[in-house]
Amino acid sequence: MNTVLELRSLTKEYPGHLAVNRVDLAIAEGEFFSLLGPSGCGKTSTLRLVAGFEEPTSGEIFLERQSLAGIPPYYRDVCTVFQNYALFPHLTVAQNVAFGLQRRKLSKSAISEKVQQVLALVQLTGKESRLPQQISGGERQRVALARSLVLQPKVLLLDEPLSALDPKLRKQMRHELKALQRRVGIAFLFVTHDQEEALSLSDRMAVMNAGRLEQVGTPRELYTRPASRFVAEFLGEVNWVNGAGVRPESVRVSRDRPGDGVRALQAVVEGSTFLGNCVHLSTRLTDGARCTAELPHSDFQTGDTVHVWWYSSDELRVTS
Amino acid sequence: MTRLRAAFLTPAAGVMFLLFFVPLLIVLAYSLLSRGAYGGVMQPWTLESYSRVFDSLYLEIAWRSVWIAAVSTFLCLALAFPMALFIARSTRHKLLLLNLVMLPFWTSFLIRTYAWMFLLRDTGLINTLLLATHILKQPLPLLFNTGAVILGLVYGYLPFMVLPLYATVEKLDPALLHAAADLGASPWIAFWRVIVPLSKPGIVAGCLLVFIPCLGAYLTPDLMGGGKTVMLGNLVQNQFTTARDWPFGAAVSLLLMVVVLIITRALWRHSEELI
Repeated sequence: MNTVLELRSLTKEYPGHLAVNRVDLAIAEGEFFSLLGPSGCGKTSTLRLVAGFEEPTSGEIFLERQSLAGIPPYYRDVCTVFQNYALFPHLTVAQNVAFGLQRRKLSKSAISEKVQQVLALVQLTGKESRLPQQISGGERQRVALARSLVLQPKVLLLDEPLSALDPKLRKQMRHELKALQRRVGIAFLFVTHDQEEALSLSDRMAVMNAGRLEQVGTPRELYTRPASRFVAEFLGEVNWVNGAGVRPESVRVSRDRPGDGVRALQAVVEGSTFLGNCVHLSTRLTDGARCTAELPHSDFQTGDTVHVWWYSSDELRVTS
Repeated sequence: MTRLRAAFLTPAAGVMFLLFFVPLLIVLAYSLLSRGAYGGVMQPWTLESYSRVFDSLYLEIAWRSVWIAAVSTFLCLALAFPMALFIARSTRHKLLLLNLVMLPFWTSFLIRTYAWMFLLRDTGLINTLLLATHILKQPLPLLFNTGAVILGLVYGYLPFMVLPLYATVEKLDPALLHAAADLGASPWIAFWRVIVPLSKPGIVAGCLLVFIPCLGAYLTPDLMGGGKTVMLGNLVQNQFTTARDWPFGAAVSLLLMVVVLIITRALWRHSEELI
């Protein structure tokens, strides 16, 4: 796999605030890479540094081994899909998509052909002459994608592109986004604070915290082998028992003492929450710690004495 | 509800009727009467004043007024756009800068015009400095010409261009400029393709606010032009004073109003299409 985008010790410092702290990252051609983290962790700042809207305090960015230092955004072969799309309100859908193409020396017919192709790709054929305020949120999202994809950038930067959509549409667009990325084969650098989005979309991902990359890897690696408490907790719920973490879905509960070869502890049921597809059973261990189990169904009552247990292979071992 | 609305509207509507509409009718009546020997108007009713308006002498004055107003408006626009952008972009001093734009309004326009004359005349500050430092042997003819009139108009009406432009530019989403840059547009292209089209309402409003008073300007051409650059405002004033031809003065001012109305209508319709 060839590296298309590389960040070397990238740092951005604002007065009294280190937004991006020595970030090293390499993204491969055609890869769907997510930067996941809470708001203010520096993920959007990183994106803005790559796009060229801000200059790094130190460190370097390489696009296909070319340093981007001092190159203004309009000469960088990367495109951004903005959080609120930033579509030009005075231009139609087709004119928005053609905007970038007009900066290149292309004939009018070549431009309109490319516009038609990309609009077909994002299923917006027939909406060419609408203005951005005359189409739905999901359609605006697709115009923003089309506007960037039509330029065939080396890397497409996406800044929480799904966050402005309502939850149902968000899930649908998630699938479309992934399918689109596979079809165009362009590397996506996707910024989000939604762990479900990052886990379901990414080939690889990084969890970011306070300007630093906590861990980089595939979604499965990060979920099952988190390097830190922060990563473990950001990607899902964790019970911390004697320094080891265990996810609620790994926890089993029984009235009888389980056999040998598993970790088992005695606990008292404190309550249960019915969630439709599963039940969250909260228990308190004898040492006072809480342990939540995610069960398909449960007939345990509050106050019941039970055994909670799990396989030691399911334990998360974090170093920090 | 309607009664309450009427109660709120009545004072303003009454003032407008008494102090604007009624005088306008009087002017209309004057323009259709004959001139009195010592000023004023008298019978019989006639259209003679209107036929005289199309005399080549007066058409020349009208044409001069239009182009001076147009050039002044264009210069105001060219100067005000960067100013408006700068003020909108500045983070800490926005209020201070806006107040500086409005600062000239704190003193009378007449006094400020005299200040310009003090600067520009042959024995004024600029020429005195240039002569004293032996850069020039003869004073520059800075005052009493068309250039001085345009300078005075641009100076006087610049704030009326800056403020509406600032109001629209300030609302512009900075993400749109990032998007333009991201799609390969240099700042210059982004200015023409994104900022200017989205600022159309402010541009139209500013141009109207500058062009209309410039077209009817009277004080600036009189003082800065030294009476040599006659504009429609001076023509009207002249008819009511030295020429003692009230009907003709009234006819010219009504025609000026009609021209302004036509231009305003056209510009508003144009801007509505764009929004």
